[in-house]
Amino acid sequence: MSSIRFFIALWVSKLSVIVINIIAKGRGTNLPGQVALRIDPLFVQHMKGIDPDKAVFVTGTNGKSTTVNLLHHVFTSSGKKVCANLDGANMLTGVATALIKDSGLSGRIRSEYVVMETDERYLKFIRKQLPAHQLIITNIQKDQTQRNGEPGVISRKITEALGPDLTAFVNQDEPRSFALGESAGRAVSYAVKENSKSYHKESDFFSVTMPCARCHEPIVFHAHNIENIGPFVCPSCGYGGERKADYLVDEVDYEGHTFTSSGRKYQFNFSTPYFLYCYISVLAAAKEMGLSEDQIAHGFETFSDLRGRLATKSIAGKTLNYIKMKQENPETIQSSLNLVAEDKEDKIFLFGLDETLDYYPAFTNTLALFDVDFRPVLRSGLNHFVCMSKAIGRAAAVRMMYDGFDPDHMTVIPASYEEDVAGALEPLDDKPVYLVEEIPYYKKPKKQN
Amino acid sequence: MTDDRINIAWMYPDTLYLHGERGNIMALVRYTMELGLTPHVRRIDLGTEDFDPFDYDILFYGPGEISSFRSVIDDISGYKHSLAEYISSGRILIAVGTTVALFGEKIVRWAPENDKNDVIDGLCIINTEAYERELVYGNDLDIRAEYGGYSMELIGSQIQMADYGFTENDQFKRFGSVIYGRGNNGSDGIEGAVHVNSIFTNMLGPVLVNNPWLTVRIIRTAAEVKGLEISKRDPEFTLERKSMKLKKQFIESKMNS
Repeated sequence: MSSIRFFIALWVSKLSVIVINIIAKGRGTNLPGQVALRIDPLFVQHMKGIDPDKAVFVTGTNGKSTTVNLLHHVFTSSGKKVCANLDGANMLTGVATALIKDSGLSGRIRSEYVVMETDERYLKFIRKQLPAHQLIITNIQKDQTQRNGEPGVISRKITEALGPDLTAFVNQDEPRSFALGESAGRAVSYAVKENSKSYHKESDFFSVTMPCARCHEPIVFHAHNIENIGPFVCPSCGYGGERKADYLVDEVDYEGHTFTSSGRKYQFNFSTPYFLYCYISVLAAAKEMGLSEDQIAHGFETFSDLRGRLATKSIAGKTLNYIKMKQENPETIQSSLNLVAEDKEDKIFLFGLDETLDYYPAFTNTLALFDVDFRPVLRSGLNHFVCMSKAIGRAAAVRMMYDGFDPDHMTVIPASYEEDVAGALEPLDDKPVYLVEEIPYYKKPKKQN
Repeated sequence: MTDDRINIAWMYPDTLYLHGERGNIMALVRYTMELGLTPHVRRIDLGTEDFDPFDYDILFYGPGEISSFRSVIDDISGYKHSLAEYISSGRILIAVGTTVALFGEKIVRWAPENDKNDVIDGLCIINTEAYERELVYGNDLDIRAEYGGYSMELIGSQIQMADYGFTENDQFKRFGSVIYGRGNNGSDGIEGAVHVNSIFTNMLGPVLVNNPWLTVRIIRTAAEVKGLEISKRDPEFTLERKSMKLKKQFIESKMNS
């Protein structure tokens, strides 16, 4: 009976893939999986041909999609067939959809390897049906407070999915995810050495760090490679300072686009440190899963992320440098602010701050405004600040006022529709313009009538 | 020498650190100065040995992760009795978010059905028990609060990890009545608690930045308890009032939908 149900689920969902391709090509990253799981709740478990030793999940707050895309590319450029959810549909339905598309009518997947991005909260449920033996944990940071509350909730959810059969690739530079290695059968650590783009946060009276995952005393970062990620130690219990990472980025040449690890040079087609963690975690996972360093190096050489986070756009006669945030949390906002601050010219800064909607209803979330530090942007030269938001634009203006910026040089507009932005920019001096905003908001080029 | 200082203790800033609460300390500093007094802030960490609550006029406890609570309770236990006296004397303690639960009788952690709940013993300073929720509740919180003899509307965020309730009596009064949002538990319309002049509230994040009319009430109350006179009038709060208006419109659109 269960196999009949499985085949009905498989064939109906495959039919839905065909229909979606005809009527809405490019969509349908979840729907076929939803159909299949509605008919057979254990659909993913019933799929055939998946070797858990050749299956890897990627989870964490930031960096999942890039890591999955890079790992997928490294395997495929080595001639391996890989089933992956590259479009970021990371719940059980998205995983099921990727498997449906990769399988034949018998329900056996064609690929040798499975690489899946997995939502932190649903990892346990996904792994129950698809017991991958490898898990890359990128980082655990404050994110989606409306549904996660605090990072400890995410740590707990991930821990529930760990077990003795699992190798966890943990970020040794990120205190919360590094601690999770203790709950896995085997932990492989990765890290990035302090480099030319590392920075030290201002140690002023209002600086705060985070509590140690073991003893809850304050963590000390020797440097930040990206926001709240870098070599750290707990001075109280020694956590974080115990050992050298299993995989380490030793040196980085941002201009030459290379990094070295264990004496070997690898190509790195980016100029921001954020991506180094994706690379070193993929190097660790691919090598542990049997790929040679030559194969991995070849994959790195030919990888480019087509969905880059930086773009330019011409608007109101000014060139707008757009820094896209895939999600809005203190770390992504601060990383974006740091990028803006790299330009030392007097500038116009546009900041899109949406109401938060992780769950219905949306709310006027201003929590991150005092988690981040706007002073690097102010000091780098700020001529005018434009905040774009329906309900919390003025709250952002208040935040800037607290950092000493003159309210006369601030404009608040209700949305980031192109004509609103153009209207705000038009009377301003001709200065470089930077826009920091979450991706989905900016997708609306025209006002809806 | 006349002491015009308002002494503020920022309690466990790196452990109770969750939602940008340093903004509240900045607000206390800003408005203490605007009212013509001198703010003096000290950070108190776990294990700070010479901490005595009576050296301060305002103690601020931000929200932290429940996993840190045992360490914090252990530390507070060292000065628990003087803390209770401090509150009774009319000096001000502010606790926000889940940290309110520390001051209750116990915190019962959520566990799957049939699993045993972990119970953390609280400080028993307020008469409540907190129960961790299975699902986080996050939303706006709009309340009518009574504090320092004034009635005022406050808007902020609520990220509710644990629900609690308490019985109002002569000693413990509600901090506010819920206009929109959940409050203590979503059922009795009560938000937070006030014990003498101390505030226990679910409203978190930069509450004192966004609601500076509360901030000046707190500072004026602290000054009065200390015997300091404030001759200056309250600031205008022009930008903050405009900010609140936008949020209020957003909340009303939710109430009407």
